[in-house]
Amino acid sequence: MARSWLTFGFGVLLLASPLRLVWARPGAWAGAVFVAWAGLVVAGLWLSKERRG
Amino acid sequence: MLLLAFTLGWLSLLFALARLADSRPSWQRLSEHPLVYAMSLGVYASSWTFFGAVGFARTQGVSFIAVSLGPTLACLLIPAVFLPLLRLVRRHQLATTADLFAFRYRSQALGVAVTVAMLLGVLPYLAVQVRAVATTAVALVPGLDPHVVGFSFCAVMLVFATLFGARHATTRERHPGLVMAIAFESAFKTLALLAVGVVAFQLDVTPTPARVEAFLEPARTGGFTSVLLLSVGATFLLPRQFHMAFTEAPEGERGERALRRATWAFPLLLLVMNLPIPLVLWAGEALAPQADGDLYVLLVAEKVPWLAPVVWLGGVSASSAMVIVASLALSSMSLTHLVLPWRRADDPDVYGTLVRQRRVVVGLLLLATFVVFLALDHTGGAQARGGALAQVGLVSFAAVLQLVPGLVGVLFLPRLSSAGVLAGLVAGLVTWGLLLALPVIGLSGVALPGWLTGHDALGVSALVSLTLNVLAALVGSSLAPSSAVELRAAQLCRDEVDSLSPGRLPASLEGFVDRVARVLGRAAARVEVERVTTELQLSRDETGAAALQRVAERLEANLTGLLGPVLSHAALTTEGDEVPGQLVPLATRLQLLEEEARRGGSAAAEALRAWLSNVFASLPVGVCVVSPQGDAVWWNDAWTTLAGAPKPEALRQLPSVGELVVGARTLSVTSAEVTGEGPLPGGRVLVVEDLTTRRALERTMAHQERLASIGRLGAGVAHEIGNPLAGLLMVAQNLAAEEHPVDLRERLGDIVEQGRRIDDIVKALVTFARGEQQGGRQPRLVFLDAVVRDAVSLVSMTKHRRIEAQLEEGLAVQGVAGELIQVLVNLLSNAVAASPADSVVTVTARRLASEVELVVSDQGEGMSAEVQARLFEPFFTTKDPGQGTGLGMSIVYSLVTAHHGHLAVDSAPGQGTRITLRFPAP
Repeated sequence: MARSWLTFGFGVLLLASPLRLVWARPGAWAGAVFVAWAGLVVAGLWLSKERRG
Repeated sequence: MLLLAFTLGWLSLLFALARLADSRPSWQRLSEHPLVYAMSLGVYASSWTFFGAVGFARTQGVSFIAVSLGPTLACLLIPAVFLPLLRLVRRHQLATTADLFAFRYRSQALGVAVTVAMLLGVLPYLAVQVRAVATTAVALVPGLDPHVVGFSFCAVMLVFATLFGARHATTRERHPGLVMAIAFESAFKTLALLAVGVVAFQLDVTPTPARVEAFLEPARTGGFTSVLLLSVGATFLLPRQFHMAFTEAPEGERGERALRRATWAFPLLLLVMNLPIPLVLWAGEALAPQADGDLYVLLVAEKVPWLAPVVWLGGVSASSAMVIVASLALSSMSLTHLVLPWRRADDPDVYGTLVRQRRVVVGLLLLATFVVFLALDHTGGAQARGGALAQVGLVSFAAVLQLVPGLVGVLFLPRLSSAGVLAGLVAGLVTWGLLLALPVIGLSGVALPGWLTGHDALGVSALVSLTLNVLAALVGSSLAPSSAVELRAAQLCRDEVDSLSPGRLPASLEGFVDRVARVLGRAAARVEVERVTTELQLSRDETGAAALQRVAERLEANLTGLLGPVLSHAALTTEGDEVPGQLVPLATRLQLLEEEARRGGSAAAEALRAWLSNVFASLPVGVCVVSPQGDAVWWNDAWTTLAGAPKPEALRQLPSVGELVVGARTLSVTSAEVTGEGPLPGGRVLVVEDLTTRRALERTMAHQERLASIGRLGAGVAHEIGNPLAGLLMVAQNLAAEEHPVDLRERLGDIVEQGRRIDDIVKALVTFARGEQQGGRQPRLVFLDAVVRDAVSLVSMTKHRRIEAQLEEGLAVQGVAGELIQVLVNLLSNAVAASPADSVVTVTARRLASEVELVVSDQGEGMSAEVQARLFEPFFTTKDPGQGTGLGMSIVYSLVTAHHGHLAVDSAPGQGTRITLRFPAP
């Protein structure tokens, strides 16, 4: 459960602020956001296995 | 017409798929597949995503992605928040957020408030779905009247909503067909969008740097973050999302597995769905710079002849799925919280009525949707600002956001009270209405000052409404704290979260054995833990948190069957505290020990043996097992006490069945054959029982019965004497009234006086006997002077002592005359028996503040402290055998208590006895 909250918090930080620095450079944003998004999908995969042996 | 036929054909295909999933078990199983479940959550992507995302991207830039990134973040919270929520709504059969709130906060008002909030928030959102369909239809077939298209769409939706979901009375019913159809349309709209993306890619358009700069603007000004957070809240709390995620989730473990799988599968679906959006935007802007961004998807699709109708169907699927699921969810809420509280209880066809009402509510919802659609069209509203679909969608999200404080209360804050949450919800909703809802539908609302909102009016307004909501909830909860009932419900909800908390689990498998041992004993605990590790194929030295969590879950499930849910949960989650032994049924423990012993567990066998021999030792009868040779091989303590140590010759003299007198004791003897078991030969078991007490009891009963029959006889005789006595008295009185010599008149006077005395005694006997015969107690006002007079008459019959009565006038108590006479007769008899011949027994009665006091005192021999201690014991007597039953005082005690009175004894040897009775004054 703590792992889930941590990942969520990290996701909010990742998406809400530091990415703006990347977006400041035209053209880089789309890739960065979609990569971050894919990263969160993988995090979800990791979380969904949290309760398996 | 062609378009309508095409659309109806498509919806019928979806419906046929749904029917298939409803009727075929193999399709039903498919509908429970975790991926199908994740796809069905794609109902989130309404026509807002399908058509509106591009329009939103055009006006709000990069924020369009935040709408789908929000659910991605929300999905990261599935293990911590939404899995417990799933268990909670499952366990308590909660179908909607309104049910959830009404359950947790024990408040019907809150259920109503949530329903109203969701209706207000979601109706405009439904209306823009209708508008999306109407606008795209007009774009495809110019000349169509959008109002006619809108109305037809609403009508078709009514039919399909009824066919899909509104066929059952209960809202808890799963609809595998609906899940399949929604998952299918999710897949279809994703593929359609990807196809449009491919077309856009082939157009090969590159945006200008200035365009990209404008596109990024919202990310810098904060618009992006507020949309992101709004959509986190909406992911599972929007009525349609709650419905698909929780109400339609597969049953049991499969549902949890599906939700866990959605942690990554649902974000992945949204990611794929959003990939083509920027491409379509660039292509659309190049093709038609002046057109409405919401129509770009269709515009790009028209580059390929066959793609436009497919995209139209994708859009219709997205809208219709959203409208059907949302109207089902909203109708459940409205039915439960707005309609059912006014239902008639005597309805003979409850289920039929419910289904009909559900259909009517769905119909009304769709009608309201159409009216809002007309209103939106009339006022212009969001249309004027472009990105209409997204604007209304976000305002809807802001309404749903108002449920977040309450949801936090459901899962994490037991102290949040219903009054607080209700206050918060109302405050948040009113703010939402003024700042967000009115402006978006084109009416003048209240605008926040510019310095506060910056570029992100929507985000700041949502934040303001949420802040007021939270403040009102906290203040309300501290002013009107939760009731005990509410706290209990809150605890039920908390338990769902705690059951997942690894912090409360032991660090190793041995820790589980320790915890379970508190309930089952060590041997059985080890067996249970080992069974689980084998089932889960884990090693015995497993310490991984995830593995231990799985062990905990499986153990809890296994133990629930054995011990019930409360105890098995307590056994696994509480640490250190002893689990109350009385909670574990003895039968369960024994059953476990027997199983274990049968499997060869020596500790269990020893525990069973010890328990059985303890049972034998505690038997209130003597038991002795005799070998075929006549030797005593085993006997209990009671045998030694009753019959002495068993010697072979004494045993041989015992009859197999019968009675036997040993000293002052009467014993009964019974015996039975014991068959041999394994290496142990058979024999005989003898049982002796002490009959002394029973015999004494029987004698007392017989004595009582004799006394009672004498009493009945006495009462009968008294009744018979009454009539001739009245005649005699009358004659005597008449004679006495005549002229006679003095001597004769005195003698006649004596006759009359003695005659009256006999009359008093006879009347007292009759009253006393009547009280006994009536049986049923009917308390009424009883005057104490009559009671005392009757009792004194009865007691004076047997022993002649002076009994003086000093009573205040008019004293009365509430009670049964016969019983009160019996109390006094018993007390006076004892007093008289204990008094020397020339002494006086007094009865006094007076009124105290709220009681009436009756005192019987004598100058007799008094009682020692030991005698006083046992005074009220049944069968305790100081009289010689045969003189008293020892029941008198215990009867006094029980009768006084039955009259709500109490009694005190004041006595010492040689000092006389004073017994004080106090009854409540009537």
